[in-house]
Amino acid sequence: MNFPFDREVFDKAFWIACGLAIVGWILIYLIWGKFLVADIIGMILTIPIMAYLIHVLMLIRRAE
Amino acid sequence: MKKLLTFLAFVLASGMIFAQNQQPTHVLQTGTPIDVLSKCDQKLNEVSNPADGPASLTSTRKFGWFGNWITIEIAQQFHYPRMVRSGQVIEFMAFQGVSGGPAGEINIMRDVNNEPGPRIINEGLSSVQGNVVYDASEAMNAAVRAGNDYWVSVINYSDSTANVGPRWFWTTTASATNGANGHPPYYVEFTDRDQAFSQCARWTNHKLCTSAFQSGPTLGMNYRLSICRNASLNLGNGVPTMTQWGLFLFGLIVLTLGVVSIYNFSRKTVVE
Repeated sequence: MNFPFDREVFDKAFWIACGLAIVGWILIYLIWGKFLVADIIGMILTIPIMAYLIHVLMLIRRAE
Repeated sequence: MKKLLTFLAFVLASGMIFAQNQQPTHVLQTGTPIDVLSKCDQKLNEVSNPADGPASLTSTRKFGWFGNWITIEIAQQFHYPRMVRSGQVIEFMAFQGVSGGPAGEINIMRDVNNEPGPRIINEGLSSVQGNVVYDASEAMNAAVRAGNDYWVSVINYSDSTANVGPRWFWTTTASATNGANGHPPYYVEFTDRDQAFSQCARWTNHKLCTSAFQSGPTLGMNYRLSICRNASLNLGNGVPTMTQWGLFLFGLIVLTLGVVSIYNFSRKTVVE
């Protein structure tokens, strides 16, 4: 499987993912009222994967 | 591909970290007092040193007939709240047992008009002594329904052949003045429903009961009963499961791989 990667697009997608992460932190606090270590580890793993997903979606849109 | 497999292995290893810790159920522990507030998001009012109250807890089953042999039950009303999150359970009960540490039992009863009603849970305790932490059993959690009131009680037997006898309970605590029927602090009520003492066929103020139970010594015990509920699941087996974060990451990776496949397929189609 070929994994496409465009550094410039990924940088933009990374900041979008960070914005989503902030929204996620707010939702976690509103729903559960506290943060756990699992939330920190999970968010650290999630942000780059989510950024890559957004980056691929942006590549698809650009290709169209 | 090798990098992908390495990454997946890393995620799986992280999932093991996320796997919920398993705790044994139905365990009786004694020893160091626990900091209840640090472990609970609900705690019942504590009742301690009942002799300080206006309605001293004076005597119980068999007192006056068998020397110091005493069997006692103290019940406390609690409200099991409606669940606001998944996995909410009664985790444990903590109380200070009497010296001597005889066997006993723990009960949960339905609430009937602010009095203990039919027993729905009856579990044995090997010892009621010192600082006791009793992990709630699965049956105990299955028996209670969210949004209802219950009574919980602990009885200790002074001898191995004792059966359940008359039952005492506090309707209020040290600080509560608005307990059942607005009674004063440490208000004690009594029933002899399991034995044929004539004057107390139902729960009532012990001063209104048979005079033999009004003049015994105070027990001098420091009694505390707390029920906690936390979000963590207390499962009965040792099989680790994926947590919410594990499931979320798994779904996200699958979704990403799917999108990459679509991208590759579209590019291949364009080239052709």
